[in-house]
Amino acid sequence: MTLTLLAEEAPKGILFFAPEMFWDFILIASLFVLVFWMIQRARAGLPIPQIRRIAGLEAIDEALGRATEMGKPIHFSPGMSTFGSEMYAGLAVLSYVAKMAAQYDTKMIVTTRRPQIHPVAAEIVKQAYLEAGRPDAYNPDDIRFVSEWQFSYTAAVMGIFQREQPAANLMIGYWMAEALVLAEAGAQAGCIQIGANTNIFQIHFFIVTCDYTLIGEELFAASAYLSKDPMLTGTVVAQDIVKMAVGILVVIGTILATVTGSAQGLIDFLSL
Amino acid sequence: MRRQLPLLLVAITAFFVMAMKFFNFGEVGAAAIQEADIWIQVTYEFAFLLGAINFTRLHYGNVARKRPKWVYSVVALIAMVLTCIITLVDGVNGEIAVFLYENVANRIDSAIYALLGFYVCSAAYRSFKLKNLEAGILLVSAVLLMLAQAPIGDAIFPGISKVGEWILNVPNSAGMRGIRLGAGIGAYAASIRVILGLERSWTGSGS
Repeated sequence: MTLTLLAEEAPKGILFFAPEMFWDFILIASLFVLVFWMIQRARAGLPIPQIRRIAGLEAIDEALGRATEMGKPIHFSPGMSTFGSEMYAGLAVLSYVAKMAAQYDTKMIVTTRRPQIHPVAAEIVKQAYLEAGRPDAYNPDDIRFVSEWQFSYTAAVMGIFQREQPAANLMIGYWMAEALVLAEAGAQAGCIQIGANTNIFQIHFFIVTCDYTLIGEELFAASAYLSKDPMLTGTVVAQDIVKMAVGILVVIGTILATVTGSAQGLIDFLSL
Repeated sequence: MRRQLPLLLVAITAFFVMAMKFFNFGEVGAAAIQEADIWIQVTYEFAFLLGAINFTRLHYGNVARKRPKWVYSVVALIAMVLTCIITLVDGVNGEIAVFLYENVANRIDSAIYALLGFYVCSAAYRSFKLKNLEAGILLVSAVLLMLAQAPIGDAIFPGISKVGEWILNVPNSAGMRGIRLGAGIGAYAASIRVILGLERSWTGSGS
């Protein structure tokens, strides 16, 4: 019945594709194909290119080591967004950091802005302590839902910086106008800071205030980089191949615009 | 099963939403997306309850155990309970509830946002210290742009506004677009990792 309804509703011919979604579909489909190809390569034990060194991710161990030596806590936040690619990337880093913190017996404070993220973050940290063989060391009070309001969250985390004086501050996710306020408050509290953001209007604030910054797509490579899982690394390679293809399109467009004075033909083609 | 079920739900939901977005199912598709939005909202409200429980437990614990600065926890608890009571009695659009929202919550929010102005200055001071080549480029660009944006800039150095415009429109835009492009494709790839169950750390089981 549903299928009949769908068939009746669907426009005929090439318009079966939603308007302006054709190239999005091609992009996603290409990524799926490339990811499957890379997974097959990884399963067959064929070589997968390595991810270049990312200083911000290397520095996580340094930050944790510093906090452990100083006997101070670390603060982690997976950002301001709700479930989405940035949040999943932030939670992957949280998983890694929580395992390390559990092994080093370092107190870890996790603050979340979104209520739906809180139970997920709590489960990740709890599991990390279980895997480290120290379930008794897990303290649910260290995983805190603070406030949904952007600047109430900011004020509360600034208070945590002042009261609990963490030695390291990791802000890995999507950040908006609070980026600079939090990073400056962290710097003033003497934290070693690692920031990651995909918001191009806020990244520069992290660059000037944090010790290490993951810029844009580096955030999405984090889980593959930290886990060293060849299948995850393969997906990063697939992403790079698509990025190169898009880059070639940009170059073609630039040449067309420079030589012929207009790249409108290419733009029209890509606007199908 | 406890770990597999969320992965399965994510994959099914993601493929369903993608199909609705990519293919033109007309009104049926639009209605399906609308229905999915309602489901998200319902899930969200349940999660909010969990958030409120965590908030109360944390601050009650602070007060009960007289942890340092526990007085702030008393303020937080009173604020939450009072707001709940007033909103329940007076309604979301009630006079007192709206007054509290506009004259207390909004004002405090704006005050914290205003800190940004001061923090821009301290961040600029720290980053413009000439410590390496990158900081040098940042310093020179910032000085040129500040002069270009200020009316006095053209009076001191005629034509500097053109230089500022070029910095904004060419190297700045190129860099921003490059980052946006990489992040966009990265977001697609990250989503595919989650949909295919390659990225499982969010279930607490590691990748």
